[in-house]
Amino acid sequence: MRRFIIRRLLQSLLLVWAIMSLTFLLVNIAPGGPEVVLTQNPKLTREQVEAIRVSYGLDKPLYEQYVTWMSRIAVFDFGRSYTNPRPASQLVVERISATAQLGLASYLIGMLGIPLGIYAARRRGKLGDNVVRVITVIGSCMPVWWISLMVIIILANTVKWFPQGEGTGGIGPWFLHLMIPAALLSTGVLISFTRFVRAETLEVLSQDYVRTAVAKGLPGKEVNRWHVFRNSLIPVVTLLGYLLPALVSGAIITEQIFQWPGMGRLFFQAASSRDMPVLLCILYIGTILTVIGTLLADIGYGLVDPRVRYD
Amino acid sequence: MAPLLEVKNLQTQFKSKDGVVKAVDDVSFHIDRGETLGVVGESGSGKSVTAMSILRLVQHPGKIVGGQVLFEGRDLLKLNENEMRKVRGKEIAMIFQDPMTSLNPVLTVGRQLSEPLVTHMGLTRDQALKESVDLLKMVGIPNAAERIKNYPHHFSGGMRQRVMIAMALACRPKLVIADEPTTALDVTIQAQILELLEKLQAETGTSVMIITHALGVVAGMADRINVMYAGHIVETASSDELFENPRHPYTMGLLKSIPRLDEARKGRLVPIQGSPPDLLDLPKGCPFVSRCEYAHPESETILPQLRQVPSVSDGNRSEHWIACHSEVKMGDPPKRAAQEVA
Ligand SMILES: Nc1ncnc2c1ncn2[C@@H]1O[C@H](COP(=O)(O)OP(=O)(O)OP(=O)(O)O)[C@@H](O)[C@H]1O
Ligand SMILES: [Mg+2]
Repeated sequence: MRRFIIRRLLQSLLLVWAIMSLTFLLVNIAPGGPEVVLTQNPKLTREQVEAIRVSYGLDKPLYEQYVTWMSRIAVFDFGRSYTNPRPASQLVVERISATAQLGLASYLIGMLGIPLGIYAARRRGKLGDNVVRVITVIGSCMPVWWISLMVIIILANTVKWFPQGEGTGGIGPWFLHLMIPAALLSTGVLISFTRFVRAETLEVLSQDYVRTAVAKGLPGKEVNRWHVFRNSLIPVVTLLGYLLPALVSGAIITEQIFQWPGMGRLFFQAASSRDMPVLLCILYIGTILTVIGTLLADIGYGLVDPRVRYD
Repeated sequence: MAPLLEVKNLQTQFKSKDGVVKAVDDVSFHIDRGETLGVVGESGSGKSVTAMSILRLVQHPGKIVGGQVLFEGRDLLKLNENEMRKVRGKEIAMIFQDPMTSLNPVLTVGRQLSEPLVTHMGLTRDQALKESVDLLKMVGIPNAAERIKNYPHHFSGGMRQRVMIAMALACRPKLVIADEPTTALDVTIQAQILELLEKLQAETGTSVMIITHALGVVAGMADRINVMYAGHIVETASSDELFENPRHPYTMGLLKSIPRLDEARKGRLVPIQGSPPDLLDLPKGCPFVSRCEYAHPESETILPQLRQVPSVSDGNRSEHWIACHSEVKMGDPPKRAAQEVA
C-alpha cells in the first residue's frame, strides 16, 4: 500500500510536469506569444515594447524561459500579473478560500445524489423512481448557466433579490449567498451521483450473492447495508475523486454569474485580459486538483474493495 | 409420520409482454425426514423455480400463483415476511449453482459464515467466528482459522462451494436445497463435492433436495427422484426403480442419453430428439408429445395426470408415478418416429 502510494505520487508529479510543459508550449506558440496583450498598444514604441519584454524575461531564448519558468512554478512563483503590479500567485491565493467554500458546499449537496440514487433503485419503476429519473434527465439537458440565470430572474422578480458576491453581516446572509450558487454548481455532480448510484444499485440487486444473503434469512436492513450498498458504493468512491476538479471548472461560470469573488471569476477576468501569469497559476491549481482527485479515487477504491491488489 | 416438506399443486408463473410462462405448473411432491430427493430435468424445466418457490425467493416478474408449501405442517406461502425470514437459512437452507458469484466479494468468508449464526442462533460475532472455523473444518478446508479472514477471491471454485455448503449447514437446517451444486465445477471437483454432501448428510441427518440436469449425478445419492419436464413432474419413483424400470418416455430418453457402467447395454448413446416446447405456447395435451416415440392418440389433446404404476424393483414397497397415457417399457419398439420440431 505504501509503495503504491509513493509510486502513484511520483507518477502524479510527472503528470503535472508534462501538463505544465505542454501548457507552456501552447502559450508560446500562440500568435503574438504570451506578451501580446502588453505589446499590442499601438502607441508603444519599439524600444518600450522591448523594455517590457526584458522586464518579463520574454527576450530570452525559449528553452531558457522554460527552465526559469519551470523552476519558478515549482515554488509557486508565476511572476507578476500583466494587469496588476502584484505577483499572480498572490492574486490567486487570495481567491482560494471563496472558491473552496463554494466547491465544498456544492460537493456536499452533490453527495445527496447517493441517497437519492439508492432511493430510486429501491423503488424501481414506481412513482418515486420515475420522478427522480425525469428530474435528472431534464436537469442534465439544461446547462448550469441557463438554470442559474433562470433562478436569478425568478428571484429578482419575486423577492426582488438575488445573491451577488459574498454575503456580509452574519451567518444568515453568508449561508444564503453561498447556498444558492453552490446548489446550482452542484447540479451536475448531483445528477451524476444519482444516476450512477441508481444504476449500480440495480446491478448489485440482481447479483447472486444478494440472493444468497436473502436465502440465509438475514434481515432486510442487513442485506441492504452489507450486501447491496457495500458493493454498489464501491464505484462511487472513484466518482468522488474524479468529480473533484469538475467543481473548479464549473465554478468559472457560476462565480461569474453570481459575482462570487473566487478563482473562477478571476480566471474569467484573466482570460478576457489575457493575463497569462494569472491564467497559468489557476490552471496549475486545477491540474494539481485533478491529479489529487485521481489519486484519491485510486486509493479509496483499494480501501473499499479487497479484490484490488497494489502491485 | 407426515413428511418434512409437502408441496401441493404449486404454480409459479412469469408474466411478460408475450404472455404468461407457467414455469411450474401444478407440481406436487414431498420430502421425508432424512431423505434425499433428486430433481432431474432439462434446462428450463422449472427445477430452480420450484426450489426458489419453496423459500419464496422468486423475484419479479415471477409470482407464486397457487398451491401450498407445507413445511412441518405449516404453509410457508401463508407466512409473513418476518416469519419467512426465520425459515430461510435456519430451517431450510440453499446452496446455489455458481459458487463464483454466490459469495459477497467484499466481506470475509468468516463474516459471511457468521451471519446466519448471529441472525438465527443469537451468537455474538466472536462466538460466530469461532463456530465458523469449525464449519470450515467440517467441509474439509485446511488451515480454517486463517482462512476465515480471507475474501472469496482467495478461494478456488471448489473451495467456495465448500464454503457455501458450510454456510448452508451452519444453523443445522432440517432441509438443504442444492440447486445444481456441481454444474459450475471441474469434473474431478464435482465428485468431491457430491461426496462431501453425502457424508455431511449422513452425519447431520438433514433432508436434501438435490437438483441437477444430469441423472448420473444423483444416481448414487438420491433415495427418490422427480423427473421434471416443461414445468410438470412427469415421473417420480425411488432411485433404483427409476433406473431399472423407467416408465415415462422422457425418462427413458434421459437414461438412453447417459453412459452407464452397471449394465452392458447394447447400442449407442441416443440423445433425445427435438427441443423442449416453448413455455409461452404449450400444446394442449402432453408437453412431450412432439418429441415422443410412444405418443398415445390422447396425448395430443389431453394433459396426462400423474398415475401410479407398479413398482417392480422392490415389489411395490415404494411408489412409482408417471404422467403418461401410454403403457410402455424401456426397449419397446417406437410407435412412431419423433416429429422434427421446426
Ligand atoms: N426471471 C425470469 N423471467 C422470466 N422467465 C423466467 C425467469 N426465470 C425463469 N423463467 C422461466 O422459467 C422456466 C424455468 O426456469 P428454471 O430456472 O426453473 O429452469 P431449470 O430447470 O432450473 O433450468 P436450468 O437447468 O437451466 O437451471 C424457464 O424456462 C423460464 O422460461
Ligand atoms: Mg436452474
